[in-house]
Amino acid sequence: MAVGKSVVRVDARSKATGKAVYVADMFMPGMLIGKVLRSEFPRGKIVRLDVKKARSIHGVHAVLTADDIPGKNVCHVVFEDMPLLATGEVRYVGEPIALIAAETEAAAQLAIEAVELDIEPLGILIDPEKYNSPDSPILFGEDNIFAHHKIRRGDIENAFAQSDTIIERVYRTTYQEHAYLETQGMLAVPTAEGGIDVYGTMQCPFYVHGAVSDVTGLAQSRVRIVQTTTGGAFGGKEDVPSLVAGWASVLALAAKRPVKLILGRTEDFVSMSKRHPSRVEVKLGATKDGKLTAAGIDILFDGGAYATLSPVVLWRGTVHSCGPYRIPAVRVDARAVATNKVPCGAYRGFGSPQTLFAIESAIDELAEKIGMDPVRIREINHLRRGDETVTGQKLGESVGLQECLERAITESDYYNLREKLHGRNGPVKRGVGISTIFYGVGLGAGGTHFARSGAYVGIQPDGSVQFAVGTTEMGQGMRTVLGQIVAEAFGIPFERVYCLPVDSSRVPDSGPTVASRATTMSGRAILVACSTLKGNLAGVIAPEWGVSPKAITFGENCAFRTDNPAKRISWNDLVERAFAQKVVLTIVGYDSSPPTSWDEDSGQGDAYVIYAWAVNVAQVAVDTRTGVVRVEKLWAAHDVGKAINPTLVEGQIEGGSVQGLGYALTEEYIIDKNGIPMNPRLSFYHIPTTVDAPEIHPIIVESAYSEGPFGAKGFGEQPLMGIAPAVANAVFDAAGIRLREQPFLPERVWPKLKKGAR
Amino acid sequence: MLRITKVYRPDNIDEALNIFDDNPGIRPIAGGTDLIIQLSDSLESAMLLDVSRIEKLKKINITGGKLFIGAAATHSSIAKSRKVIESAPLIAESSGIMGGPAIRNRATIGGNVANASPVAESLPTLIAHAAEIVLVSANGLRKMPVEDFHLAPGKTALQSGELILGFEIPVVSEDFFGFYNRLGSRAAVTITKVGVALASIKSGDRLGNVRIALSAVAPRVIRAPETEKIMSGANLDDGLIEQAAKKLVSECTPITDFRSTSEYRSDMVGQLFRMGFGRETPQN
Ligand SMILES: Cc1cc2nc3c(=O)[nH]c(=O)nc-3n(C[C@H](O)[C@H](O)[C@H](O)COP(=O)(O)OP(=O)(O)OC[C@H]3O[C@@H](n4cnc5c(N)ncnc54)[C@H](O)[C@@H]3O)c2cc1C
Repeated sequence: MAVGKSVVRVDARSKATGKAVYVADMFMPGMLIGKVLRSEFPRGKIVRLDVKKARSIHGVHAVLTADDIPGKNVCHVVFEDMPLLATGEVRYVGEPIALIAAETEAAAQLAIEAVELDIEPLGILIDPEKYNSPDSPILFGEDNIFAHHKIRRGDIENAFAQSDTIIERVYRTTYQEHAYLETQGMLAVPTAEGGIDVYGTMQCPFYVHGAVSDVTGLAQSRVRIVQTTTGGAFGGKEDVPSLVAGWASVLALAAKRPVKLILGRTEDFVSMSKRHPSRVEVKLGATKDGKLTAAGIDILFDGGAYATLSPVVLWRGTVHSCGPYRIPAVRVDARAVATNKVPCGAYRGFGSPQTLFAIESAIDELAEKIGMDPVRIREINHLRRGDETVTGQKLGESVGLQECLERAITESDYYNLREKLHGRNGPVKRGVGISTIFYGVGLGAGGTHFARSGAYVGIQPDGSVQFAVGTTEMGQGMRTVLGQIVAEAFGIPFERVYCLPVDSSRVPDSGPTVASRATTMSGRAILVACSTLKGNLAGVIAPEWGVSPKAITFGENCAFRTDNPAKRISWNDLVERAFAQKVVLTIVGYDSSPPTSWDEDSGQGDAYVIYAWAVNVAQVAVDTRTGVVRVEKLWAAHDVGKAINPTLVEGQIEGGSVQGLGYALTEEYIIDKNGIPMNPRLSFYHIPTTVDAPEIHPIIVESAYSEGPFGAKGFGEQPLMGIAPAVANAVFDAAGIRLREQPFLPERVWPKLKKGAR
Repeated sequence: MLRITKVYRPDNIDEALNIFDDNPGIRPIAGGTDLIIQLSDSLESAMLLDVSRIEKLKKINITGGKLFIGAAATHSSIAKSRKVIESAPLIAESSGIMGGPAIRNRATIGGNVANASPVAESLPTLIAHAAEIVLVSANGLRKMPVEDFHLAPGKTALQSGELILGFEIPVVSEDFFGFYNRLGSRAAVTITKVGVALASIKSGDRLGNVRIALSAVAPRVIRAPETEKIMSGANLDDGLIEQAAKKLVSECTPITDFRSTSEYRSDMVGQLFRMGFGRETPQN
């Protein structure tokens, strides 16, 4: 009834008309403005930090340094290396040093200027490739390495020795900024009985919950987190909102007043997480008829000043580094290292866009060397049902890659299109490129301890249903899709279902809203709750009908006997009777993810519970005079298991593709060799506009996942992940130049065109 | 941080000039699309004189063979104006591609010129069209060529107590030939990396009165006198275009910054110039 229909997003109207309330729109009696004093040095010793003068400024209620934090001065992510406020040493430009709460923005600004701060510069490490050079300072552990992941499979030396063709290439990618419309922000409100309520923009309320308790020293029972309307996140609101909430909370407790702390755009740009820059070295071997024999891959991620999410981002990058291919012998070494730059973290794709850019470019380069069509080499090698991944995971079900490939090729008319485009003359060259990718859905073996979810479902006396989950809406459409799942489970119209805002006091810890897991994980918890409630309702009528509650089906706004659908009672009447009989109609469903496994030394195991698959075909135009690359058309086929809401799936494909185009073509954030950010604002960091968006053809493939709600598996990140390599491959097809460094700015393309370099 | 202490919104020029007199240091504001950003970045407070209600400053009309565009005319009103499209086509073009729709609806040509950026969209086309800027103060009116007004990045010949009234541009003749080609970093809402404007009169195979203005390749928007000389009166063929393109490249001094490289900018000056003769606009 509701699943599979493109119902309009529940939040569309309020967002389009400006009625939605973001944290910046919120005001409280006595509310103060919070501000952060930040480091202007990439590394240095804090030799003087005196806040006396700042505290004496009129209208200033609190000025705090690390010494004033009531709880632990730490922001726990994977390790506990990052402080809430710097102590002793600063490690990147933008690192927080002191906090101010004042009655006005002007007073807060004056206080910032009045803090007496002396920093003595220390030696810096900016280039991650120099992490182990003897001249570089040690910033983390003994060797600057945050994490080292491996995959060991088969006899790699022998496999290369047996290969007919081998290529070795190096690919590089740089930062990507989330550029969410709404910058980071929190409002912390001390309660009369010594607790704290925190409202704000976030992906992971339970991370924030833990962080606020840590830094305030308050028991977790006294901390409540409420997610406000979140204006985009893309991974950028996974871990860092814990910092922002921590700052607002310690200020609020010190000032004994509500404190609202909203980051300015440049401040947000400089200090909040980014996609990791990378260097990926790929060595690939194949037989002369195009069968992959071996892959040796060396990955280096620039983690920035603190570990934050680097170990897990790197892990996903590692697992995805060989692409969706059958490769008998594999050796992968992946390292994330420390530098004196902004800590990098989560961004749609989570470490995989970097490694997929490398492998998907390398596959094309290998095909070119063998003299084989890029589609053909993929047809020969891509994973199918029953195959093993490079981590040794046997693929059982829901492997829709072949169908994605076939449909993308057919709908783009790939072969004819290529021929037609190559036939044109003139300075603008056109061509077509392809990428085939996969995505491990959910946290996988890298985050099993978070892999759980809860859902509150409450049937109201009037028969309408409210529900709440612990995963968040950030613009992806989760509230709508989950509402459809509730409606479908009960067989009632979608309009009778309402999703409440996320509140940490309403549902159990459901882990983070990341890894494209909300639909599957919250959907599963919802189905657990709905199933119990349906049992309770059926129990009301079953004795009268002389059947077991299990023999009753819900649908068409009724409950009816499965064997005799004419015997029925309307949903409303049944709910009314259940209330009269004091039957429980409000519960919390709880679910944990199916198991995964992983061996850290060999990199072997069932990395993820299920995979989503995708194929992108890009048509580009390369102006050989200017080096400008323009993507004209894009076909994007995605196996999502089941499209609960097809329009929202298409929306994810379109939005993610354009974000991928920005990554491929125009987005470049520069931190210079002295560690200074050069262009931390949206006028100098170029995300695509609607005018830059190509004609996009979304293709939905549904290869059902039996454990997912109605067959669905997550895919929200995937649309971005394979765009850059498809574009690079298309540029090669068009103009014969190979781009191994993203983004493909005209300044990078034009010299290659001049040289005619391969 | 934005600290505005006072805003005046006069309806006519006399009132505006009086306010100027009474409030030393007050700053004119039109669309605010440059100024508000600059004030937000600075720590100083400001008093503002909003010129966007002065009718005279928003006028677009033709008198005595000259097109007048008021300083507070918005880029959208300029881009849409028949008068501008017919009498000074390159100016309509530059106003039509700057920023995005929301910016064009607020931002003005006077603000663009007063802001004096070497990448300003309207400067090369005004200069190519031989526009004069009209300034008004308590001492009366004065005029000068736009190219003399723009002195350096952020620096103009505007004196304190002076407002830009508008621009006077000779109406082009039927045999006008010209183009404005620029490259940015994406298809819209982008700052110019390199821009080339050329205005001339075409008779048969020859160009006369050639005026070329280049943006983003020097500390200010510059003319290219040598290239203009080569082109004026010569037979317009591929050889001439090639020779002129090379000369043009030699007349600019672009820099490498985080937006582009000097090598790329130099070469693009020539490319955009060649494309202009093929009636091609570069894609971003
Ligand atoms: C998103 C965005 C995109 C942009 N894109 C472009 C672009 O593509 N190309 C481009 O060239 N620019 C661009 N700009 C810059 C800006 O919009 C233009 O320079 C615009 O024309 C400025 O006009 P304004 O009316 O907003 O000026 P304001 O900000 O109001 O004023 C700018 C300066 O001019 C002075 N001033 C204004 N009117 C007068 C007057 N009558 N007399 C004397 N002084 C005066 C002010 O005191 C101030 O110093 C962009 C800006 C933004 C925010």
